[in-house]
Amino acid sequence: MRCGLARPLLGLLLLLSTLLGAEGAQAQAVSNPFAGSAGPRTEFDASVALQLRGFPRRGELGQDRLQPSAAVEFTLRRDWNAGADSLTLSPFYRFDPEDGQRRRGDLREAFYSHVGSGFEIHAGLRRVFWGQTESKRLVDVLNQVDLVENVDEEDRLGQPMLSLTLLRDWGVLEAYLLPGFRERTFASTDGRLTGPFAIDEARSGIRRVAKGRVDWALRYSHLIGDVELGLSWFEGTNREPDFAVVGPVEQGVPIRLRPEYGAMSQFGLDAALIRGDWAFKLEALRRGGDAPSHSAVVLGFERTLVGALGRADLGLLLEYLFDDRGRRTPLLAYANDVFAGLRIGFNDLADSELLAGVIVDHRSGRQVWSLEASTRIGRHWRLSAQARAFAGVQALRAGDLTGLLEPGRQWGALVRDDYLELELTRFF
Amino acid sequence: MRCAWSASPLLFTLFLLLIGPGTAAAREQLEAVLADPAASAEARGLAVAEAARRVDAGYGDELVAVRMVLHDARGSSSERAIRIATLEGVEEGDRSLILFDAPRDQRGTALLTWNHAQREDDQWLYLPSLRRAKKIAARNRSGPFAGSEFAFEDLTAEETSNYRWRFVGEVSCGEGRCYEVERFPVESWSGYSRQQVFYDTATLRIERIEYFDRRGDALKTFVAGDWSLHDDRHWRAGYMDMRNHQTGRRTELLWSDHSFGNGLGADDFSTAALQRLN
Repeated sequence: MRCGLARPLLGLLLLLSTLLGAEGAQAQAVSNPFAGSAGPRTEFDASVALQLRGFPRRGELGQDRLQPSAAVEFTLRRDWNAGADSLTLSPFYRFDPEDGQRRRGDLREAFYSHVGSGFEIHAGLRRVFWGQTESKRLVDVLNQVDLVENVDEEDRLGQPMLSLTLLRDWGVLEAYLLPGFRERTFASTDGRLTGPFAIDEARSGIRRVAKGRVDWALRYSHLIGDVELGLSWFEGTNREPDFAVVGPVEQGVPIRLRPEYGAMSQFGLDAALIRGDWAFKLEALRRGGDAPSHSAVVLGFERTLVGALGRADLGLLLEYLFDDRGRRTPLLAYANDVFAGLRIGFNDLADSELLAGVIVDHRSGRQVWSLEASTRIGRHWRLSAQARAFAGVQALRAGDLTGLLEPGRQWGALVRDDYLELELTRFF
Repeated sequence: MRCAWSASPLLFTLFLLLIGPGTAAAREQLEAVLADPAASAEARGLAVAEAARRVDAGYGDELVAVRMVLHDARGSSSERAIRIATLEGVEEGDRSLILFDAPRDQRGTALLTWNHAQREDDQWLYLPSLRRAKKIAARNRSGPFAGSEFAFEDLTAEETSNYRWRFVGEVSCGEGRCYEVERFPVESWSGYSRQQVFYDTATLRIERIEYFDRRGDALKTFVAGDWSLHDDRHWRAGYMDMRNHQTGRRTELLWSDHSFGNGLGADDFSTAALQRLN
């Protein structure tokens, strides 16, 4: 039944392309204001990063307190027809001597774009951002989370897609066909952050309901007065897995978990309203599928005080996170939490910046602290620091299945995985 | 900072032929207001600003490359390379796009602004690593732009309605003569209490601006030079200098590769366009 939904969408794509053919013919098509009338252009960017993660405690599975790694990323972009057509290729490779799951290459992006008057077509592996809030990316579901890179869920894997974007006076309409599904990445038991778990990726599975069909999504966004509004619909494989316990459970032995990906339908809403130095933000979703339906909301504001700290700007952030799964809310989602944070833009020669905050479950007292800061060194280097700490919850030990099944205890899995990460990146 | 070609009365006829009636009318109107003894200082000040804006109208769109050299008080310096695209607003305000090329760690970062005469501007910051176009508070415009001595509000084309104006007089400046006009920001978020603006009387280009902070103390001095004329009517500075008297910091801007009438449209100044800049 779900399989059949891709067909009407294709029909819609065709209908829309007919419409835009008629409407967009008269205006001159310029796809990139900086492309000019020069011939094909080729751009090449690269960066090499050295990373060191330090953990105050050995991992629950006996992992080391230091985890060094190195990564390289290239971006090659070629455009022609005054920028109307372009190819983007962005390979990435990380070498991690400890963790085999982080010793891997990935194609971050590899896509062709055509930009016409009032429309765009993209085909290939791409990354797309949806949303507004700072503490959690709730509605952003097209791209799978690359969890081995960072547990903040900001790193994403490229998703194969064919997409059409229409730019109209009444707003922007995007339609996506998403063939192929990419599973979430997890650290191996030699790497971190794992908690007391061993993720059995070899046996992971897409449930039958989600198999043999093409995912699709629609998004409409528009600036209405002061409000930037986005509405999205996603129909496909849930990017967030459920976990099944596999094999025997023994005290002191990591619990083996198998990720399982079900089917979902999600309606998403995101909005931002700027008033003076206040930015109000909202994201909300309703998700159904083979798991029980649930709703979640993140809403809050950021207030920017320009010159509050001499030359530096200060941003104050406050957000409320709600998920109606309550105590059954999985790890990395927040049932009833408050995020408070501050951002400093130093406005110095090195473009230094800092973002620090904490997400607190005010009922249980569980806290997730985070700090991100970076500064440029010389002309080509950037030094970044990132720290995360998990507090206010009892640690979950290897083999403690009773603890794991206790509502609200999952966060205890990360208690031994507090870390500080330093990264030095050379840009070319 | 858009200033344009204009002419002394002697060149008036030739000017009419070259430019067309719009620009000449702006010039004529200004001369009439300045010659009118009954015109208030406010009316005269606004007339200079309006005329300066009108003589530069009709550029359609503009592309330019800028090298920024930032100096701090200790003598350290840092460079940025940016490109700017501007779309002249017809019914709505101007739209502009600023793209960072250097330093390399900032490459691809972009700022999209939709100016509005009657309400707060809309502004988005594009973060290339996240593929995210983030709507930001336009109030950020009073803070330093990219760590420089220029605030964003110093860099964008002014809507005359953003200020109250007052004509001070005609003074000598450099080799020529200037209209000295004071302007007072209307927006409460502005970093300034007032600015003294010096318009070249012959061309209506802005040659110099003195900025005063919210306490009324002298804050910064802006000087433009190395002028070039484009399409026989648009004057553009090749060099700008902003000195902060309170901190000793200084920023130089070197402008190059101006091009006008590139056929840009509203699509190029959309949040979708931010994803494909290079």
